[in-house]
Amino acid sequence: MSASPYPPRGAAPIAIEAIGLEKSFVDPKRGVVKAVRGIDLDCRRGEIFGLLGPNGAGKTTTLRMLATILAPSAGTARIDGVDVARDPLEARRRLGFLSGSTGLYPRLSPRETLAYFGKLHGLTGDALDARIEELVDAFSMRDYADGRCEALSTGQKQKVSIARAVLHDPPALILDEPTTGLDILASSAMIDFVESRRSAGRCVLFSTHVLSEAERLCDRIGVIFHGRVLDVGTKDELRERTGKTWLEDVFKELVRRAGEDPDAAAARGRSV
Amino acid sequence: MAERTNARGQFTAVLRSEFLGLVRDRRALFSAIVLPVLLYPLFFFGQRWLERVSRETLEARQVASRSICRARPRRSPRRYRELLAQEAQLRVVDGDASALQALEPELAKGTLEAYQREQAAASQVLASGADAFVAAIAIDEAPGLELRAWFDSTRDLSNEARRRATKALEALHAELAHEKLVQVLGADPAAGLEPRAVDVASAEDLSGAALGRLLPLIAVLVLLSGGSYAALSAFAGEREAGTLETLLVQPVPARTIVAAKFAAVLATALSTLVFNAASILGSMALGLGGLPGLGPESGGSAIAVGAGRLAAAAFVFLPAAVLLCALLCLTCGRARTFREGQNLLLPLMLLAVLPTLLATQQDVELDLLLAALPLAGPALCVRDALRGELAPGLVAWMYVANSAWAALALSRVGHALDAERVLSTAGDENEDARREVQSRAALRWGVLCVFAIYLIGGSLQAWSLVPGLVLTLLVLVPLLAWLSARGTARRAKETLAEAFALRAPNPLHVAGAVLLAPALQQVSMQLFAWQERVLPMPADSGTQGLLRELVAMPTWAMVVLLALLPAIGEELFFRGALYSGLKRDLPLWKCAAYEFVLFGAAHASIYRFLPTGVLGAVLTCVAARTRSLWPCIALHASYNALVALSDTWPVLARPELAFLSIAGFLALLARPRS
Repeated sequence: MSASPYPPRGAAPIAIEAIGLEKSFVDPKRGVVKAVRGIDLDCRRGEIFGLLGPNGAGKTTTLRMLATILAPSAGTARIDGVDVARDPLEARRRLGFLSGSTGLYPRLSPRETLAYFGKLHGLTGDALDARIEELVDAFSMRDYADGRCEALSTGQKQKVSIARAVLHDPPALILDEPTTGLDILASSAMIDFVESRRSAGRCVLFSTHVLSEAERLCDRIGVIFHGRVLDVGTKDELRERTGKTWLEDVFKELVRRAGEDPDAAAARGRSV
Repeated sequence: MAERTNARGQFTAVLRSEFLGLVRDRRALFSAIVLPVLLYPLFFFGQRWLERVSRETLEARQVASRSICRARPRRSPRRYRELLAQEAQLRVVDGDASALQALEPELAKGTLEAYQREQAAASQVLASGADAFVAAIAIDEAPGLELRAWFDSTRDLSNEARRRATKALEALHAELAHEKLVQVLGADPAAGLEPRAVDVASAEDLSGAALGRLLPLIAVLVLLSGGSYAALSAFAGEREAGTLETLLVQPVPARTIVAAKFAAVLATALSTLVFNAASILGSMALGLGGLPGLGPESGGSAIAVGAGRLAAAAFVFLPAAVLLCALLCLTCGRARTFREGQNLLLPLMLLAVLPTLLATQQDVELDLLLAALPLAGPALCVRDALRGELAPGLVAWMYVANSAWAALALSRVGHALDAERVLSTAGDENEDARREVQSRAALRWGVLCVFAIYLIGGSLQAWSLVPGLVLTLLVLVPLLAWLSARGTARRAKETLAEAFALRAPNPLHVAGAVLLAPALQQVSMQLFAWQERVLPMPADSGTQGLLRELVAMPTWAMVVLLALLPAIGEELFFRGALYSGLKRDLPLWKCAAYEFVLFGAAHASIYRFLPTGVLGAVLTCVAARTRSLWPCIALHASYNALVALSDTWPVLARPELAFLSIAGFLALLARPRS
């Protein structure tokens, strides 16, 4: 299961890259809040990269910066070689984004939803229709492609959301806790989908706080805590460096080395 | 070129999806189109139908009336009976009214006992089959007749009988008066004394004036209610459904998305307005309903306003429509959910209605200042356009000024989907909740203090002015301040002095605050003058009387009572305890807004509300800048002293003094003591 044939480092081009990424919010009541304090990572085509960390570690903020939704306070982010700060629109053309809390327009049908986002990506006419048909078949949505999204089940909605995210076949896919709120069947379908992207030679960067997911899917894992990357590597590399077997212990050990007491962190309501 | 085509395609795609969402939403469709189309005809028709039915039923009913009329001149009773008989369906019954007749001598006395016996006797007569009972009683001492009608106001028939009997009496009265006048003048008085009124206003003018009083208000309300659903669904709904994040990662500039959403809101609001206006005008043209203030003789129910005037009214209302829709988008852009959006929209509606109400006042003239005011200018222009009195220069100025307001609001709408603000996740919920509790507690104390000043302070001052004033300002208000600040200090774990901001100020700030007073005095004089036009102060209001009493005192006493004591007492509460609590959770502008309302209200006079409110808001800004209460006390005391002493020394009210405030403002820019 975990013996995924991840590509040798340096072989495939980098699809998602962060260099010294920082984000500070100015909160009128609390002053400056540093959510992300300097993150470096690179994900290549054909690779699944997992960002593992507790709630509040800065995962969502990092992914939102990479996805051009938030502007970094410092550092650089590139999608498929395009600097997100310099040309956000071009970066978005090469990027698919999906988060666990993503919703759909309740009064549009799946087909209309796909057509809407296709048009936003500049697709029109026959090319758009053909791509929609392709996706409807690929995700077996034909039975409910013309009903309203509000009437769909969670699993069906999930399929529409995924189809929407890969409509323009982006080289880089960013998924923010994509299995949150899904039942077993739907989340296993999501895991299959992530694996299929890797087979297609695309890059997937996803965040999770579910250790088993990270263990099963990721070619490489970045452990993130308090806005910093504590370590990056394959599962075996991380195990070797920390001397622990289980991913949970690996995580605790990394936090301990960073000078934080993991139990105290958990007691503050930030469970792993 | 390709970029532009692409941008247009994206704009259309967003607009189309907004419309699809709205058209498929039954609630939106119903409230925007179906309801207005049906509502007005049904309302007008229903109202007329109900009126007619109830009138007809009552007229068809037999009512019985008893009358006695035994007065001079002898001819009158007979004539009265004739007149009563002319009233259809009114049966005059001759029955036993002896109990009432027996009461006659006593009724003349007019005592309470007599009144009660009269009521008892009359209800017996009414119980014996009459619906109303009218009598003319000759009272020996008084000249002439006294007429009385006994009836039971809880019974429709009795009311009707009374109406008819009284009408007959009125006719009799008119006849008698006419006869008398003919005797005195020696000629028919109707020919000599009654002028024949000739109205020079055309039917279009009349109907336009009546419509102009109503239409601006209706237009603003309809526009807001029609656009609010679209704005909620386009902005708050997008956040609630979790689709906003997805939309923001599409290769579309945020301003294109916002522009398309705004266009959807504007189009929905305008079409609601058009449907409503068409329905109202259509109902009136069909004669279903009328306008208040238009009698039947002027063509009452039919609407006579021409297409030209309606088009002009629509044209001058356009900047207001754009502004209102921009405000809707701004408001809904702030909301995270539909419900939150609805809560935010209510205050917006109230705020939008206030300036529009000016158009319902007939004597408010459109001038340069009013034309520039957002919403008030367009509303007055709509009124004048319907009256046919549009002044082109003022309309052009209104258009320039209100387009500027709309542009300002639109430029802010551009940030409505600013991800940095909308999706910012910084925060600690426990801390937020604690801060909210502190601000709310401070606000409750604020409201309590205003009522305490009204009730306790008011009665103390009514008991004895000077001691009452001293007790209110030196005991009551500081006591409330202490209670409120103690809670804030306990919750925030700081000392009482910190909660009152009683820290040593930068001396420059104290000097600057004192120098700010002359400009504030000028501003408040301007506000008084402006307010005088909208809400003139009665010649002898209570506060004025109080001031007069104080002004009669020696100067030093006046300075102490009117400047020093209020500055200390009120500042301890308002900028000390209240502000230190409010600022825990609220941004400065909200604190200043609450201080404006509460400080204005604490002065217990609608005529002083605006100037004192402004003073409260300015003092709040001074407190925020200087982080100390002392500059606030200095500014408050010097402002009050200037106002109190400028009657004695008019030089203090000279506008040139306001230039000193520039230095004061610069001094306030100095850094506060750390």
